[in-house]
Amino acid sequence: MKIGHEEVAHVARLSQLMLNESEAEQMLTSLREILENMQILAELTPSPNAPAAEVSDTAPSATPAAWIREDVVLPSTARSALLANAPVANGESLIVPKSVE
Amino acid sequence: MSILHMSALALSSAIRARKLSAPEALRELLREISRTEGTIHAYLATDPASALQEAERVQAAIDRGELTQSPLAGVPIALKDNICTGHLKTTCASRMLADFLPPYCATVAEKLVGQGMILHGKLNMDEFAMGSTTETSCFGATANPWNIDRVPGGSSGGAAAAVAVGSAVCALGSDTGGSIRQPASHCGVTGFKPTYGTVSRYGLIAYASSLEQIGPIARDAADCAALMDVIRGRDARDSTSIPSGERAYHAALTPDVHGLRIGIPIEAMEGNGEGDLAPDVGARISEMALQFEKMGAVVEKCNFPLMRHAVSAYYIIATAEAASNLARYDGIKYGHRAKGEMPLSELYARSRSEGFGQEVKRRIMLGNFVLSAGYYDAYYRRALEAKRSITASLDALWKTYDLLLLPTAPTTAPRMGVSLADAMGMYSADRYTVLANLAGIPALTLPCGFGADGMPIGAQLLGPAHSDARILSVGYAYQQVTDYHTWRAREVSV
Repeated sequence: MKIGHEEVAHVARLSQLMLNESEAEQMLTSLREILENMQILAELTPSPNAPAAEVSDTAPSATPAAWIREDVVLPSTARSALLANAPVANGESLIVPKSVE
Repeated sequence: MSILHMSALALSSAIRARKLSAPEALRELLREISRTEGTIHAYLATDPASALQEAERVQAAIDRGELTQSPLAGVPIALKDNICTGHLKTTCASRMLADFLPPYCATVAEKLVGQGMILHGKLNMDEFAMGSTTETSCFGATANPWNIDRVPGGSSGGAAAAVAVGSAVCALGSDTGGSIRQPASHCGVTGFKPTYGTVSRYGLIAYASSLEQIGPIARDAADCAALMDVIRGRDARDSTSIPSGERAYHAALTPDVHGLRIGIPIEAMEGNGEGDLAPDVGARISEMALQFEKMGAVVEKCNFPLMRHAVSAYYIIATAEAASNLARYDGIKYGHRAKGEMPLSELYARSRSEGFGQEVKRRIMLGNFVLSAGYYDAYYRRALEAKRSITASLDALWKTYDLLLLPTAPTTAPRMGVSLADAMGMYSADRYTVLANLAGIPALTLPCGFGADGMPIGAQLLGPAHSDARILSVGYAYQQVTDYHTWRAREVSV
């Protein structure tokens, strides 16, 4: 199955990325080659009775009781520290473009 | 005495025996950084003044009789620049985070400081850990100290190059698909990826959360074991972290490998249609196998046909997770924001497009594609099934073998500029390393000789989950009877 310009444009929107024409063309060529190579996975036929694969089959299936902390309030990070990296802030809040008329 | 050829353990012993002080050791290292950085460019940030202050503080603690249970006290260490440090910018080698000073420290950073180690710098890497050459760093590439026209590997290229040239005693990198092991192999040093969950990822800026681990890059397996003892352990702040046993890995090192059963997958040694294994790399792996036989191990060929699916499974899962993890970079709370007045949705897209490099954009696109409606089953779900099948294959092999031996990379370090022109070729070269990430198992790379071009070659040992101490011990045993890990790049060229 070969992807085209529409798929690239759609995925760019999903990815919140802007691609100019030349970047979109390069991305199309690149993604086509990569996806073509990934067709090798079609060789695998999972057993129909196998449970659905999960992201982490190695993590404990239930959190041990000892790892659940007490339900108490702990200090948060100071506001000043969190705003220190903000591109635009006024000491109290982040400043963002107006999005509601 | 000069510290420049010393292992971390030997350096700490010397400091604690008063042969030199922690500040003296650090000052010599800082001079070496100045001497080599113009050529190698391994570092993105150093803070000599605060590092020296820390060295004085650690020395005072040692003088008071403290830190006696810390085998690495007084040793300087540098961190890959995706590990958050509160006093040094953490950029992931990206324009997106070029000015980011974290409001917190990674758990591993706190642990290192707690054991009297001195954080003295942040190391270059591929942008957001996406790459195999360190060329995608927005701050410029790092050179391989063995030949500065070659890449150091990636994405922990700065870490491997610094340890190789001697401008770091030891370092921490991160490994999502081979990013500790492959650069360690290309730079002739030792690198270790732990069992998934062994080391807390709190403070590791995420690329692919179900695959990655922080791990050591150092002069030898003993140093790696000692560093693992510092950084491992269950952390309440990382819900995927797990306990890793009370006994120190370093205390478990033994030169005895009698009766150890080692399998070499034939698919790893033959091209198997994915690209060739360079003959000199194959030869060095075979020599390592013979060495282990001489030491009393049993080495056999084995079959691992599902290996051929590993690269595809890895790149689908890793990019899917990356697309999710990097969705947070929208120019609002931190990171690069596009200048000028524009609607919010355009602000997001413009900030991201200006902040991310080409390889990061490609992986975000690929990740969102494989998760999108109409393609999820054919790609992402299949990849998860392949991951499960690969893990099951390995579980079957562990019934017969204690370890698997295979190459770390199919060739020696490529020339600069070559890999990025062939993305699929670059991805395919990860076929030996991604196995350990997909299965969540530990893997160690050891220098095992040199190629026909004089460049270092590394071999990998893989083991079952939670066999970290044993793998490091086997690596230690190999390094008692070989000397490849003692060769220094600075003797060859700088």
